[in-house]
Amino acid sequence: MSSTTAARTEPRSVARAALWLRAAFVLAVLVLWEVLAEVGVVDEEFASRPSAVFQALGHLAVDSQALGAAGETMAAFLTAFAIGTGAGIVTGVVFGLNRLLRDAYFPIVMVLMVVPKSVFLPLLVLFFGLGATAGIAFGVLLAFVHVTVNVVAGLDLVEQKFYDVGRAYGARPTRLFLDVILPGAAPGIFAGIWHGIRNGFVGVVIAQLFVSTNGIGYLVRLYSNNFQIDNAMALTLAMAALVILTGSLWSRLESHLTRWRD
Amino acid sequence: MSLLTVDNLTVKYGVDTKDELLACHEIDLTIEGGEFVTIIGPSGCGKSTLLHTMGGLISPTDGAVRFDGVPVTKPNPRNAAFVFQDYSLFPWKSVEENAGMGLRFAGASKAEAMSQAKTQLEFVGLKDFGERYPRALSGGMQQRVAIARALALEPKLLLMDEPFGALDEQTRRNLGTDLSRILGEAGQAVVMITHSLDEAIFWADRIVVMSARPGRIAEEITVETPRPRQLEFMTTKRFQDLRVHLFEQLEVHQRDAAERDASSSAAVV
Repeated sequence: MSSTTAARTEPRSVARAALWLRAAFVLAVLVLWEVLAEVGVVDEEFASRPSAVFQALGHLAVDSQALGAAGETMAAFLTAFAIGTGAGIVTGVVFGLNRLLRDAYFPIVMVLMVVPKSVFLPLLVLFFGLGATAGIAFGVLLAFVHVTVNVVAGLDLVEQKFYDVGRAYGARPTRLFLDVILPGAAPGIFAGIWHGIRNGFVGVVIAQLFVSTNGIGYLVRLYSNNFQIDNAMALTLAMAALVILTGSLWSRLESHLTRWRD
Repeated sequence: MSLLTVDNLTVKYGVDTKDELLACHEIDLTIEGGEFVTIIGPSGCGKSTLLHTMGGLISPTDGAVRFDGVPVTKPNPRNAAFVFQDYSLFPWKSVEENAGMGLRFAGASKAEAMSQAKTQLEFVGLKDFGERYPRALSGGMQQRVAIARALALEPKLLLMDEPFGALDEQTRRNLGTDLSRILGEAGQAVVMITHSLDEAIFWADRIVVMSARPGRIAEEITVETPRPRQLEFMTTKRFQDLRVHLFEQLEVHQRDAAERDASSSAAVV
C-alpha cells in the first residue's frame, strides 16, 4: 500500500533508492567474494578475486593483444548488427505489408526463433571457417530473427483506422508508408533495433567463445584454459559494461524519437 | 444539378458467400450544395455503409453514386472529405501536422498544407495548440482538429460518421453549437450520421430516417428553421414534435428488426 503510493507520488526518490539497493548488493557480493577468497573457502586459482580482477582490468586496458581482440569483436559486432538488423527490418516490413509473403515465410522465421540457434554454429564453421566471418554470420542470424519478429509485431500495431484515414484522403503508398506505417510501427521497430544490438553482440561473442580464433570471446576462452581467471573475468566485465552502456544510450535515443507517446 | 446523387444504391458484403449481407437496399438520395443532412436509424441499418459509399470508400454492388454528375469510384477528398467517429488523429504528429495531413495525403506540398492547417486551426478555435500532440487535447478538441483536417481541403461536402459519438453530453452540446456556427460559415454541404435525436434535428436542413437491415430510406423530413440555430431552438414546439415523431419512427424500425431477427433465428431452429 505505502509502496504503491510512494511509486505514484515520488517515482524519482524510489528510483534513487532502488539504485542504492542495487549498488549495495553488488558491493556486498564483491566483498563476500574477496573475503571468501582471502580465507580460502573459494579457490583463487579457479575463481580469482575481485581485487585481482580489477588489477587485470588495468593491465588489459593497455595490453595490445586485448585491445586488438576488442577491436576485432567491435568490428564483427558492427557488421553483424548492420546486416542482421537491416535485413530484419526490411523483411519485417515486407511481412507486415504483404499477407501472402507473410503466410508463406514468416513461419520459417518463427521456427528459427524457437530452435536454439547454437545448433547452427558447427554448420557456420563448416561454411565460413574459424575466422571472423563465422562469428559475423552467427550474429547476423541471431539479430535477423529477433529484429524480424519485433518489426512484424510493430507493423501489426498500426491500427486500421489510420489506414482508413490515409485511404479517405487519397494517400499514395509512399506517403502512407512514411507518415503512417513507419511512425505507427516505430515502437516495434525500435524494439527490433535494440534486439539487433543485443543479439548481434551475443552472436558474435558466442561464436568467438566456442569456435572462432579471434576477438574477445576467443581471448576469454584462452585465458580460462590457461587459468588466467582474473583476465578472463576482467574481459567479461568489460564486455558487460559495454553492452549496458550501449543499451542505455539507445534507450535515451529511443525515448527522444518517440516523445509523442508520453 | 445536385451536388451528390445516390441512385438506386445497393451494397452487399461477402457477395456469393454464405455470409452475404445486404447492407443497403435500393437507396435514392440527393444532397444539394450547402445543405446539412443528418442520417439517423437503428444500429446496423447500413448508415455507415451508405456514408462510406458516398465518399468512395466502398464500391456499390448495384446502382451508383455521382458527385457533380460524375460517378464516384474512389475517395476524392477535395470533393468529399471524411470526419471519423474516433477522430483518428495520428498520435505521432503534432496538432498542426495532423490538421495538414489530409492535404499532404491529397498531394499538396508541405508548405501549402502547413499554411492551410494554421488557417483552419484558427477557424476551429485551436490556433494556440498547433505545437501540441493529440494526447494533450480533450476529445472535443481532437474532433475539432479532425474537422480542421477535413476543412483544409476546402471540400464541397463533409461526410461525418457520428463525429460526436465518443463525447459526453455536455461536450457534445457545446461543440455542437460551436460547430453549427463554424460549418455555417464554411458553407460546405454536410452529411452527418448520428444516434442522437437532438443532434439529428438541431443540425439538419433535412433528416434522413433509415429502416433496420437491409437499410432503406424510410422517411425524409425537412426542418425549415434557418441555420445556424441557437440552443433555444431545442425548446420550441416544432423541435419537440419532430423529436416525438423521430422517436416513434425509430422505435418501429427497431421493433421490426428485433421481430425479424427473432423469426429468422426461430427458422434456423
